[in-house]
Amino acid sequence: MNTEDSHLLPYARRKDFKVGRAVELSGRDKKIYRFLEILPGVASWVTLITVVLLSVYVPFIAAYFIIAFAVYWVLKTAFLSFHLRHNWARLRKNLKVDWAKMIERFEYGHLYHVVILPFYQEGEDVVDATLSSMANANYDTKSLVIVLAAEERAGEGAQKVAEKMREKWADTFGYFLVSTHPGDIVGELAGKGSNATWAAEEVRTKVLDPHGIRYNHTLVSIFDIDTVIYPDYFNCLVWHFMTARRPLKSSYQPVPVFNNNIWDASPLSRVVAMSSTFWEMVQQERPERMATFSSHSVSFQALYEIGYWQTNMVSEDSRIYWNLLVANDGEYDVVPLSYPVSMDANAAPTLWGTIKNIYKQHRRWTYGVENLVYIGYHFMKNKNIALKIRIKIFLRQAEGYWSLVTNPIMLFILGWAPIFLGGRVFHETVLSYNLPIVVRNLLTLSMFGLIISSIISLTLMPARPDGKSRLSYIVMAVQWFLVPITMITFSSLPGLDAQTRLMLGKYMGFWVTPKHRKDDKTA
Amino acid sequence: MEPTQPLSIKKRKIVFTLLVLLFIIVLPFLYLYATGYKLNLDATDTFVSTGGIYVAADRTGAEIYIDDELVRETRAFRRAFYAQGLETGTHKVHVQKPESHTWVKELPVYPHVVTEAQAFNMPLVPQVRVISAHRTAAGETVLPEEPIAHASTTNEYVLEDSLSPTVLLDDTEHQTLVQVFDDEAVVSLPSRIQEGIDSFLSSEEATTTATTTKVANGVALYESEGYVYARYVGEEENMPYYYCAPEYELLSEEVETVEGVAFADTHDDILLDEAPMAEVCDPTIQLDDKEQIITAFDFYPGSSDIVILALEDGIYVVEIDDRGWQNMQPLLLGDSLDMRVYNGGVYALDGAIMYQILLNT
Repeated sequence: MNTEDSHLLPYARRKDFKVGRAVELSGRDKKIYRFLEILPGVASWVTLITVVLLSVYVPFIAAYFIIAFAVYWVLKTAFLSFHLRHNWARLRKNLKVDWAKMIERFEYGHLYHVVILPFYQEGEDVVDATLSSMANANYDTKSLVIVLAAEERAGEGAQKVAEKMREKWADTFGYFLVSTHPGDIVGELAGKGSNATWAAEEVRTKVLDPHGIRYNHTLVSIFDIDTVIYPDYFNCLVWHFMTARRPLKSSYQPVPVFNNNIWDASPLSRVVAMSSTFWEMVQQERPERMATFSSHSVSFQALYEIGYWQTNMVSEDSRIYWNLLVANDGEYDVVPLSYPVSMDANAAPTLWGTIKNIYKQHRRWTYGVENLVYIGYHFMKNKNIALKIRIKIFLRQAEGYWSLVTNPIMLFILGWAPIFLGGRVFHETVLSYNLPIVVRNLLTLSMFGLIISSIISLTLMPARPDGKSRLSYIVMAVQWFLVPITMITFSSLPGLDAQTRLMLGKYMGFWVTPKHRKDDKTA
Repeated sequence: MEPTQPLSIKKRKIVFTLLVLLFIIVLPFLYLYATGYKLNLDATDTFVSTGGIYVAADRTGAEIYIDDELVRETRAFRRAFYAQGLETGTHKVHVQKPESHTWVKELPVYPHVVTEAQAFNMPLVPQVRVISAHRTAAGETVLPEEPIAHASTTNEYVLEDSLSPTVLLDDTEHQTLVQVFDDEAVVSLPSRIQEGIDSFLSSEEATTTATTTKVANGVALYESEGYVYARYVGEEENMPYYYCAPEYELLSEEVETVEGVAFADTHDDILLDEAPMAEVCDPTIQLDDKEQIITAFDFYPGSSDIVILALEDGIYVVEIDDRGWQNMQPLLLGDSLDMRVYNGGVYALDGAIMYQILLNT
């Protein structure tokens, strides 16, 4: 055994543990991995094409299927809405809990919080706002280890921002480290994962080890650079860490709300951003189904045991969870914090720019389907995880990626396919005439859920700033009628795009979401 | 205040199970409803098969009645009505509009099938634009005599007699239209269509010529032995519903005028079996000509369901759909009027005066 790998968990020592693409493997493993890469795209395309073909050749069956699907959609919306409302109540309650008092019962003074903030070319104001929120946390800031993780290839501007932030904030925190990820490491995919891994190792060698800070006493919060924490984040995190079933084998997931620039973002952006928040809120009520997403926290020990994040793939925020699950033989949890962190909604100077950015961002997010491939591959290899659990997890994830792409398209577009493609005999039937009426009525029913979404979204928003008229609230409420458009344009289509690229072997690289705020001072 | 936990798995399972049960219970009823079954607790059969009627009107402001019950007043984006849950049998449909002719049909409703129909309502007093060979410098049309009495003219005109000697300008539109009336364009039909017509006509010792044949949207209008026929020659998949429609019993006594039918007494509804299939489909329909000589015919502009016939006592619009009967409404009454459809307009010639009959009024 290589002494460099001695700290890794046994499964994490495998050469293929951090596989990113089929081309990194060889022989039979490569074929299996490639097959799995093709599978999601094929499943989605076959579904969509099948609905079209059914509409042409057996329109009656297609019509019955579409009606059944519409009913399923209404009931699924109701089911998810039930979860959403429960988490909404929990979130609001958790915002009122005195977390500092809650953790007094624990011995937590020995805990350190490493906050890794990978950034690229974001403006000084974005970085400053994030650090300001850390400084104002209702927690001993001397227990915080800030790592501003810069990219060498971001150029001088990024270095200047980092240095400026160090000058301003270094004395506020226990430790303040600026790491610079080299841009020429062979085998790495440029992106947040490789930067975060570099930063984690830097903090280990430059802060944790020299100061004797134990890894199992250290919690790492990996935050997007625009993440503004609420004051009690660290208290809330500590409480959940101390009460978790297996604290060192758990990731801790807050609820991302995209409130930093919500009042300046377009209605499209807001609906999309809030939809992402809602999805995460629903998942918080189903922790056994959760994977990590975007900003979250995890123990340093757990990270160290698997060699940190993968440096060769895109969706590192979710992949880290699957790495941890597989390496720990299935004995790994995600603990929902039901406590928010605030981030930026996608906004660009122009509407078209915003649309493009949202599309690209969601394409990157839905490229998380590469995790399904990883899961499928390693579930075949790691027999230490119970078969029933492997099957359940894989099918659950597969259904998620499949439905994300196909469901909105089937519902809002292909629902009318039998009417146009079904031929004369079908067209003369009562079923043909009633199909659009039934589907429309069912979709209208499911849209009642939008009213709930609208109400919830208004309660999660920050106070209206000066300069924004009260009419903005009306827009905020009414904007939810864009959901059918956003579901297809920013969920289904980018998802299908991502799955198709994976299917065809046109692997995606990392795309940095531009952060734009109205008073932006770019670096 | 202690933080609350996520939803318990037990609670989630209960809700999930309830929703699954709801799905299982609701779906069959939805299928039955969508395919045309109606719940009827009074009858011996709990579920009764029903059908539907789809009526489209060509104008806004029309009222659609089914079995004498008003179901729709047509608007700009609501010119049709779909009635479902109708008992199988014959139903009366009429569409009326103020100051317009009424369209009436008795249509069969078969189980799980929708019967379609296209209504039309021509104005009682047609609006016409007079066209003549000359006009005044002020743009007034100069007419040799008064125009047709029972039409409303929309443009200014003066009688030739009333004019003092003045310079008259030629009306180029009139010159063009004279040419249209003089020439009957030779239509070269695709061989597929010509063969379709010839194969039908050859057994009838036909005397039709290609010059009197009009084709639109797969429907060929042609004359044979003094009668005008509409024959569908397009793809069978797209054939309109009224070709090869099976026979069915009407509700009302046969009456002479269309208006009379709308208010005739009805017989008891006659239940129909499932929609009968035509054994051999010959998609040819003869057009009603009121036993008069047809001097000209063409499709109504923008339609292949309605035809314009120039008869001895006027120009009429008649539907090809011969289920029950063919609705025929006068477009412009007058003796021996000639008619042409040109560039989407309908033109009538009454000796020296030409009229453009304004549609969509």
